[in-house]
Amino acid sequence: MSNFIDMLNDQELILQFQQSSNKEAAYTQLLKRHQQKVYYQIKRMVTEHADADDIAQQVWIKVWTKLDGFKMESEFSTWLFRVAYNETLNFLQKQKKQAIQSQTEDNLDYENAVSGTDHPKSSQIQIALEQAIQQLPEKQRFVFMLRYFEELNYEKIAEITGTTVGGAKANFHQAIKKMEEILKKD
Amino acid sequence: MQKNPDHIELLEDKAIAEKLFSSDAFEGFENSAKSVPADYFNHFETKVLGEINQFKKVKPLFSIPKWGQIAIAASFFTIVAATFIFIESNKKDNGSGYAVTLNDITTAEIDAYVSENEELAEIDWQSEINKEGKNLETLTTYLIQDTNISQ
Repeated sequence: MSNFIDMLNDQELILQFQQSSNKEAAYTQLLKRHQQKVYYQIKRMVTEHADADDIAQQVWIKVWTKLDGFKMESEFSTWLFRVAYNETLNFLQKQKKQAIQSQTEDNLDYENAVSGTDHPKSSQIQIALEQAIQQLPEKQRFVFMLRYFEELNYEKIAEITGTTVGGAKANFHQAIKKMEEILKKD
Repeated sequence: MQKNPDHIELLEDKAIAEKLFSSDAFEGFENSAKSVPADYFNHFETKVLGEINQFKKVKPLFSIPKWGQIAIAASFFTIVAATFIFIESNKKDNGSGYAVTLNDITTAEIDAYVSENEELAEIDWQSEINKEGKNLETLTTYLIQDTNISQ
């Protein structure tokens, strides 16, 4: 059974999930295949492992509940990143509300985090990069990560973030411009 | 070998970013994003499935099937419609529909009604007086005397 499942592509696994009574096998295979990409993209956005873990779990629970209604109009990975995008943005917005109350504390925590023991090989330029990335608006940050690290084309990025191809390109270039400004300021 | 224009665009985009920060900085950033506790991904599946199973166990207190929801909605609509029709028909009854005017009743009928009710009133009075242990004649005498006193 396991070997048979291994051989199926994403679309076939989704059909298995939607049609069979044994949903778990198909779902587990999809999770095994895509869990790392989803987690890494979330971690790039939130930096803390515990937060990334929580969001990743929420994403996969949502996949379980929504996969029956998935109509294969896009690739599974695109849809999955879209779920991750929504969950991450929800998390960041909640976090932002809490952070407004203790902004100075957070800044200190962040500086300690990026230059602390979690990042032993952090160089000055890497710290500058991390700080610049953290200051980007969430959407620009997400687009930048998808483009630079996941190397996705703008059509997919547009689909994930619910924008146009032109909008996705603009988001990437605005992110670069903003990071440049932050770098000059520091 | 000709390169895909999409790929060229990607390389250009990455080059712009690396001009600002070195490619080493990006590599370092990516390494820290990819640093996870040991065996994290091996246990992740179990953790998520555990959550899902718990989520499946927690069923709503009142789960009403689709047909049940439709039935409830239909009953509610019927009750509302019936109440509306009942109120509307009552309005008609209270209007000119069944109302009887004084002109519709004959004088003989009115006389008969009045005389019947006079008798009834007398019977009532007598029964009340009897309850008090007196008769109508003694009461009349008392009233006449009482009138004289007040004069």
